[in-house]
Amino acid sequence: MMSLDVTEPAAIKARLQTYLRVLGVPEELRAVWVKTASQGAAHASQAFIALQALMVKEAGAVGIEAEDEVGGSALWRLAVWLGQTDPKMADWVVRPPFVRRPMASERKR
Amino acid sequence: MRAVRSFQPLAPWRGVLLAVLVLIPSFIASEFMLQVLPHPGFGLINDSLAVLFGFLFGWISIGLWISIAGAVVLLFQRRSSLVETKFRVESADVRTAVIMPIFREDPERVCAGIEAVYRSVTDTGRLSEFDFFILSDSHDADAWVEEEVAWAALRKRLGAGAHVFYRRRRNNTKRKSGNIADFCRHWGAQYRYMVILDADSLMNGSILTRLVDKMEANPAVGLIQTLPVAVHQHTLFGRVQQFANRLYGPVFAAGLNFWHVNAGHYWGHNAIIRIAPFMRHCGLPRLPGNGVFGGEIMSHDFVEAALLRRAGWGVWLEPGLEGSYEETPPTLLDELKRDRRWAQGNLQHGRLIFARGLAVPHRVVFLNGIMSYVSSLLWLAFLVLSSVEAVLHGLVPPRYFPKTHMLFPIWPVWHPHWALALFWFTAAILFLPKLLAIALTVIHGETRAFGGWWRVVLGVVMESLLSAILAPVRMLFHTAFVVSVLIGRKTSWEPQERGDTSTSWRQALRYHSFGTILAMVWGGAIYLLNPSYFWWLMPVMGAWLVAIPISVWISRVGLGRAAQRVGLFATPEEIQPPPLLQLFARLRQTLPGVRRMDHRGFMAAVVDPGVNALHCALLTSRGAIGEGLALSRQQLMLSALKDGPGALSGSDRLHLLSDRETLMALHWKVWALKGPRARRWLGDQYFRAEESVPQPPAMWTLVDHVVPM
Repeated sequence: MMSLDVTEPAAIKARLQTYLRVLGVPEELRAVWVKTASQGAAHASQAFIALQALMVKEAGAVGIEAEDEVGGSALWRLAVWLGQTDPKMADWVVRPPFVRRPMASERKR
Repeated sequence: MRAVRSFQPLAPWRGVLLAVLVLIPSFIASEFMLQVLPHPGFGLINDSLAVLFGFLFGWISIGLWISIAGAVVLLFQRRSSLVETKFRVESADVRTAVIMPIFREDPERVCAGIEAVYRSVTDTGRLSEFDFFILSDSHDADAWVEEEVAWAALRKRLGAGAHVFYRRRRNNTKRKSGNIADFCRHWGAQYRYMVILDADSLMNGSILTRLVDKMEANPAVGLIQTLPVAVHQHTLFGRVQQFANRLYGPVFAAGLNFWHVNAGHYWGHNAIIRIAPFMRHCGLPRLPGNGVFGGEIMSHDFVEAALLRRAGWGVWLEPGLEGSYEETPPTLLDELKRDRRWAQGNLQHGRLIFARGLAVPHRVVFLNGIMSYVSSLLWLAFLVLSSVEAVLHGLVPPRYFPKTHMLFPIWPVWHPHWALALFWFTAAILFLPKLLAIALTVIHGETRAFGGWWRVVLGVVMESLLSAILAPVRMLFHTAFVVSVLIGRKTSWEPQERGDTSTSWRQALRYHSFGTILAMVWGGAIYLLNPSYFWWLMPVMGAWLVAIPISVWISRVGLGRAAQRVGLFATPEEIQPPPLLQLFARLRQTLPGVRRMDHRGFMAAVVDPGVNALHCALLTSRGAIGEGLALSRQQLMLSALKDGPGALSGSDRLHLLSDRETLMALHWKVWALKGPRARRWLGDQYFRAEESVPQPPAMWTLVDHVVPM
């Protein structure tokens, strides 16, 4: 079955470039990541997987705590999108932790 | 339990006094009605009319006595029964959650409201005591994502550390009450109090901190309801309601506070609740049965107040606190749509009136809610019976000698002047509360805040005229609502209309035609059969006749603005908006967004790198899932990639949005797509970005388009 993906190297780079520009990644970092993520990628999906790994690594470097890779890349992208500087991202609590308590049912009375 | 106990002996006496004040005049009015009716009349009809009139007279006189009590309280400026601590005890335990349950509301408006409240609390210097929650029950994929985006923009504006959170429920069982209960289950243990806001509510920092202080100083109080002032109305109907709410509301609320004491009202928003007892005592059951009287409790607020009070906690209406606002329906039809829901909710309370252990005032609250709608049915029954009586008098010749062996005839007697006296007396009961409100405004020197004394008087006269026209229209609708509930037709849960909507002629025709035709048939028949009675029916039939144009005209913003220009129906908040309302208005005009792509809703969650990140960050990890589920999600993603977003149903979209892993995988895959499939998702703007890239040979492009994948 033929791939649904972009496969031409220049087009892969262009797609990565567009993605990072839309996200708001600074130009210097963009250039480095486009080059790194597209290196050896046979199709765009591989390049985006590599890009996600770069994001997860960067998230760890700036102290973003996430439960897994999906969460790490999401939080890093969120920080960039919202234009938050790295140290402040630690304060960016999505929601407070749950402390579960039941509501007593009226039916019991 | 101090506050509860100290008022317990007093409340029953007030209840007995109110009952005496209502029942005795009602009985007299009922007897008087019997004298007014033509004699000799038709026994059963006359008796029924007298009984109905007695009921209805009692019903409207309750409003009178509430207003009189309120006026006396306000005249002597009696202080609140709830003490307020002067020296606040600093405690990390005293944490309050300000929660706003929403259901498909305008997210920008919701976030502007939360931001205004947040900034107002900041000004009090006590922000650290409060957290804010937007609790969504929206079940539409686009609405869900748009709420998240609006919330993210809000967080960005307020700064990274702002404690403003967003949560959406996957399963919105029990509607608003279930939404709040879900909050309590997850986070309730971390807060002592919660303040509940509706999507159109605003409360300033001062009132929020005062509410917390009052709760702290009165440990036996479980709930304090504030009196929200109606604001932000621009249609003529909305401004008239806003004016009436602002002028009469405080008097009525002070009266309610007087009669109900610590078994007061809770209207579901703009109130503070002590969470622990709420969680312990206010878990609402599903009522047995599947009909309209069974299932989930729709109007939960009255029931929650009753349950709190039953458990010994005080429930107080505190009308004296300023800084609490809400919006009202902008048009008559919007109000009636809301009333349809409320009618069902209130009638359902019929099953709870005799529930074990409830305080009598709360049983009265249930009864009052039911009567708010059933009274319309009774009024209509009264009109029907009186019309039948009039027709019979027109058709059946009087019997001058109803018994045999009578020497003298019995002449038909009826006293129109008595009837007029009763009419005016009844009207006085309806209008006296308005006069009391004017008098208090004058006495307290507040007429300038309403634009001057003559504008107050003119406003009340015009509001009364409009009320007189709208009352029969409302009566007809409410009757229909009651009947439809009784025959088992349920209402659906629809988002509430807010803002400046107007009624179109088509809508007015659709909803008011029945009344107009009824007026023509009914009024015409009476005119032919008993012309003198026709004029007694004119206030009702006339209102039905003009309902279509009136409903359209009063829904117009242009007329509302025109009235505003001449200062008619002005309110203090409109003439001199408080800082909170000014801030809210500014925020509504100048909210900076966070988007960098044009995509909206579900499409944004899939395509936009930022929105996708936001959505995934808000979802929790699904953990391990079964092979079948994983496969079905994989198939859904593949079909989305191959066939594009247009092939996805609303339910498919919700499924994709609900699974973090699948959505993120779809996100990366969409950005990796080539050819027309990429265009379907990314759109021309971002697809064109590739045009600068060297294009593949023509043959490759052709193959890409024709070879099935």
